[in-house]
Amino acid sequence: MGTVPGVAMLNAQNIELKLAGLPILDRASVSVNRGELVGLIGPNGAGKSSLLRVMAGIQTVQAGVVRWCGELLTAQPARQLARELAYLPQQEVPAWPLRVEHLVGLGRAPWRRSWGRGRDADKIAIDRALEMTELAAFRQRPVGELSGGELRRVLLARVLAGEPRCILADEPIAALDSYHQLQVMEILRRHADSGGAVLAALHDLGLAARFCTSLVLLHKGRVVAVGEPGQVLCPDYLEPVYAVKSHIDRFPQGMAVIPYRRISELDIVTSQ
Amino acid sequence: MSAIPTQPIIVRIKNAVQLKRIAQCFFILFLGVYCLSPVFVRADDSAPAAQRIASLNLCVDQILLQLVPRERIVSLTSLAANPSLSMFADRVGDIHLNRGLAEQLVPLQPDLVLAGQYTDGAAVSMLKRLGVRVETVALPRTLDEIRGYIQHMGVLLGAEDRAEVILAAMERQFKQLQDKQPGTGGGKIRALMYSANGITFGAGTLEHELLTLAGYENVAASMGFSGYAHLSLEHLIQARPQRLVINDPSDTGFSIAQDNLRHPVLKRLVPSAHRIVLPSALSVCSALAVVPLIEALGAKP
Amino acid sequence: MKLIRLYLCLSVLLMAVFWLSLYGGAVTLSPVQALLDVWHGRPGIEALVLWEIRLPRSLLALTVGASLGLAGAAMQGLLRNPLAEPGLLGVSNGAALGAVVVLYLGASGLAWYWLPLAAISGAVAALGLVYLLAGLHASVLTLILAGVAVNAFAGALIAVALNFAPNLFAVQEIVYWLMGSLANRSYDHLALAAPLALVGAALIISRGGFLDALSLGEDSARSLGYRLTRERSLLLCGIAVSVGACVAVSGSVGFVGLVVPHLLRPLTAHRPWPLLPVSALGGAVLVLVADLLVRSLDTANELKLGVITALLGGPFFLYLIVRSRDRWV
Repeated sequence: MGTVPGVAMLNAQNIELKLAGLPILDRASVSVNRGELVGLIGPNGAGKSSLLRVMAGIQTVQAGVVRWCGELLTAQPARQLARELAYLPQQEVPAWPLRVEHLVGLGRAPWRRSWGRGRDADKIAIDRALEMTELAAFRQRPVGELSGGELRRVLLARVLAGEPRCILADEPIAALDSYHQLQVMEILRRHADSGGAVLAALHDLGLAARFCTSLVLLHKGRVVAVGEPGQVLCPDYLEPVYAVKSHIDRFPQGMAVIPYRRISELDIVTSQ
Repeated sequence: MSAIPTQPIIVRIKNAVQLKRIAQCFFILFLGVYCLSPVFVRADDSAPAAQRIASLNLCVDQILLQLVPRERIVSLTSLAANPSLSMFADRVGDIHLNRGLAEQLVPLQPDLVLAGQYTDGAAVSMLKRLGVRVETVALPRTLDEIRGYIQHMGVLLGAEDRAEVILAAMERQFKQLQDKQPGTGGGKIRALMYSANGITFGAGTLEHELLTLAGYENVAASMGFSGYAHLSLEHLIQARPQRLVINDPSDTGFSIAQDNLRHPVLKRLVPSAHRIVLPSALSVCSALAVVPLIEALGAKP
Repeated sequence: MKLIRLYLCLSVLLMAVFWLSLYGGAVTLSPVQALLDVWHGRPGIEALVLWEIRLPRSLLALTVGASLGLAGAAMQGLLRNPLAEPGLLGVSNGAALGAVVVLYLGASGLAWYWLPLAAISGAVAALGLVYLLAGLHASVLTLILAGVAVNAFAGALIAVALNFAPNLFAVQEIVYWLMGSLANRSYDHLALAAPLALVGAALIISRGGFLDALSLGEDSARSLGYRLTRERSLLLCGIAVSVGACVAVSGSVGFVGLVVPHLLRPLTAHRPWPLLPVSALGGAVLVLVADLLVRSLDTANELKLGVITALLGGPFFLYLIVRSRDRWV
């Protein structure tokens, strides 16, 4: 499937989602294009994970459509789509203590034909993914023996092994140390730069500002702001959404957003 | 001297010699009473025979139906009406059928209830407690016991003539068979009786007696089994019987226990001409089915 | 490659055990001699015993063992739990109920296909009932609880069916069903079970990729291109068909589906897909060995197959649990 110029690679339009009677998403619309690393930000419960699941095609909605390269996402053959669009969930622990290389190899599932093996291409992709995430030394380790951060990197390597065009990542850098946080964000940015697209839900606003080409701010299921990090990360947007007062600092390598005080009801009243 | 005249003998004992003689008298008297007691018992039976008879046992049901007119039977077990279990199912008609509950029998006011050895003890003791006359009948296991059993039942039920008729028919049949011995001029034909759960009948069983009477050599007995014994299919094949006697396995529906009788290897080992298939009703109370059993056994040369 | 070596070892072990199983039985015979007799068409006792009794029995033990091992591995992969077994979701009791109804109430004589059809329908119906109770997207715990309920219900219905059966032996046969047995089985039973076992095996093994992907979780499996409901239903159908076919001919043989995959999992580095054929081979070996023991210990009351598999599997299972206890702290 080639990309038609002018048509977003992945586009969600007016998504309405209710789960167990509770409204989760309210007319949310997000677009991801080639070369973009879009950061999905917002407080807990804003609907980031749900939106990602909707766009990955694994959550059905009450209203709205998701389009892949201009065509309905739900109309695509699942296997074909899986080769192009990959989803990294927030919290999934492998059921079995597989070896790292086997787990990463699971990402090749959409490429594996029923009875043939295509082993060489698989091997190359797996090796590359392990190199990118600096996990080559962990190849034979059972995942049960890894730390939380190492496991997250293995799961990311699984996604990368599938060689997708678009990556949907739900909090890929949670539980990682600074070194690996930067590493993962670099990998995602490189993926976007080389013609792919990434939509990542992030909590760390500083890293989001540093690496993302654009940000989407979600609040109670609604998109309240879309734009460049510099435009979105300002008190006018952040304070009503996060209910914290933050110190925003710009410097050559990026931005720092440091929350220092919670905004209580009293502050809102007195500020008006 | 005591004013009571009932103990004169004891008061008059004077020495050991007299004591010894008195003891001897008592002993003789006792013996006499003992020996003559059948007379007394018979005298009891000469009282009117039971007119309202109920049975709690399938085999007793069948002997009842043979010996006693239907008007004298008030209840039989429900199994008696099942043609795959009872030889006289067609004679049951509208006789009340019970399920072994004392509660069902009491309203019928039976004057004699017959139970088998293995009838539920609770039912029997309940009936006795309620004042009903219950006789437990031990079922026969050998031909001699069968003769005694039929006679005894005849006496118990006041149907001695019928019992005599049945016994006479049995003896006639035996004689006929003994005259007509099947055999291949020399040795006896080797037959094996095979039943559910792989049970075969060795020496000392009724089935062994019947097979021998019918002129066969019981392979199970020759293999050294006595009583009921388990015989695996492989050993059966190794023994290579010339005749195979089995119960019709489809008579009573399917069971795993009888699955071995359907194994294809039996058909290959013993062709149908040499297989004797007995209706299952004959094997439940085999002691009563002696005549038809022997007929069936003797039928094929 | 390590996997190929594993398959080879297990296959060789299976063939050895199969050959050994031809020696087991009441009559002492030499299988070689008997096979030669059969080949040259010489009728003899040994040839008859071997060809008509031992060979079908061993082949059936192989089929039953392979199917149960496979179904166990599939169930554990699907429920993502190493303690799952095919009977957990009511499959074996449901199949037993179907078989009991057809056999004891006289319908099996109508046509040859009623028995396997009823057993499989019973298995599928039990599964359907479990999903009805637990909901289509239930968690593993809910599924297991629903399975316990369905198992109990099916067991009670089996007792009821046998209560109404016209046969003298019906009552004791409930126990025999639950213990499983291969005594006196012939090629008729094999012809019933083998094709269905193959169909079930094909359905299960073709879902291997799905089971592998399921290790990551349901969301990831979906995002990898697997349609969850379709794959799950095909898998469960495969389990129902193979277990149903086995129960129809041998009664329910327990423990094989639980112990074999659990035991062999470390050999496949915990991967669900390779575990499928490995469990099939392992299950076949276990049941052949168990049946060989049953035949060798020739007691008056036939020792049941399920008893031996439980006696073999139970202590081994306990040993595994004790050994890995610290891992669960």
